[in-house]
Amino acid sequence: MSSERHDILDDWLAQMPGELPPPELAAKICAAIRARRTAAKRLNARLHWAVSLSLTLGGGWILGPRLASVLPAVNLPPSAIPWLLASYETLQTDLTAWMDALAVSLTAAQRGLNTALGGLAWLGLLALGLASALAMAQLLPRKEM
Amino acid sequence: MTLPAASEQDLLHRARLGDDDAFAQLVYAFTPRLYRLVRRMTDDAAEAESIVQEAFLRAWQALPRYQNDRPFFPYLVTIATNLARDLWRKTRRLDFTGVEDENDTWAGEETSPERQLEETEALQQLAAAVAALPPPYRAVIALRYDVGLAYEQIAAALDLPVNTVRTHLRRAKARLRLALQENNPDVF
Repeated sequence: MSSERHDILDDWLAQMPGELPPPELAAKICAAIRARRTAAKRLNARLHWAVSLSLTLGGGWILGPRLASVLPAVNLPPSAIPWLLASYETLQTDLTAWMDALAVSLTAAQRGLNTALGGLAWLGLLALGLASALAMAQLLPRKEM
Repeated sequence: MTLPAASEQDLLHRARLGDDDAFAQLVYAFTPRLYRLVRRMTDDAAEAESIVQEAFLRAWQALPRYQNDRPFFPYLVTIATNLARDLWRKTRRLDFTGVEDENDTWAGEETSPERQLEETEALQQLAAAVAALPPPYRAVIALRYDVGLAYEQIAAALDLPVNTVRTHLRRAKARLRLALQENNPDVF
């Protein structure tokens, strides 16, 4: 066992009876590990949604003025299904004023930002893309082992 | 229960991929040995239970960083020993006063190999004597005889110089001899 002298006490110590663990200890440990994994998953999901929401809001805010200016220019063809046309009409009539007001203020902010940072629209698109990717990743079922 | 090395590595690999059942098999396989060791180092069963549980939890959390080719049990032992040591420090039980200054003499080591004792009773006495040792001595005895670690491994686990480990072991054994002498005068 070692370079030191081996005597009867070494033999006794090696044979010394030990205490057995409580029968439920291993099960308790496994349950604690599962609980930690569940908590970690929940936290991960919350973080995912928080990041996704932040990116959606940020991307929407960046792209908002452009979308607002594009919306009135969209002309749906007569072949579009009736409910889509009706929805679009409602959106255009009811929300145009609100969108215009929002667009004015946001565009002013945007213009300032755009001057400072070129290609901000791309940043907005990127944020929205990431947001949707994160959201999709959270929604799609994952293979659990 | 012990696991064959190949099976242990396979379980570890699966556990690293997120397979909780694989890790559970490791828990069931190593809990008795780890508990036996920790129980020897601690004063009560509840303390030992909580250290064993925390050691497994820490090992599980560190799985992504764990090197698969290393044997798992010594790794668990290191974590558990560190936890026990932290506990001694918190409760000021890792007090070496009176341990370092102890007179380094003990009864002679004459043995009579032919002597057959009532084994069970003698070993129970020995276990009780070990339980009465100061924590640093108990830890060294447990790591040496319950786990079978080398001096260098014990030194690493307890964060002590190897020579201190040797000294602790020698003094612990001297105390044990003295404790056992009364009932086994012919042996010690």
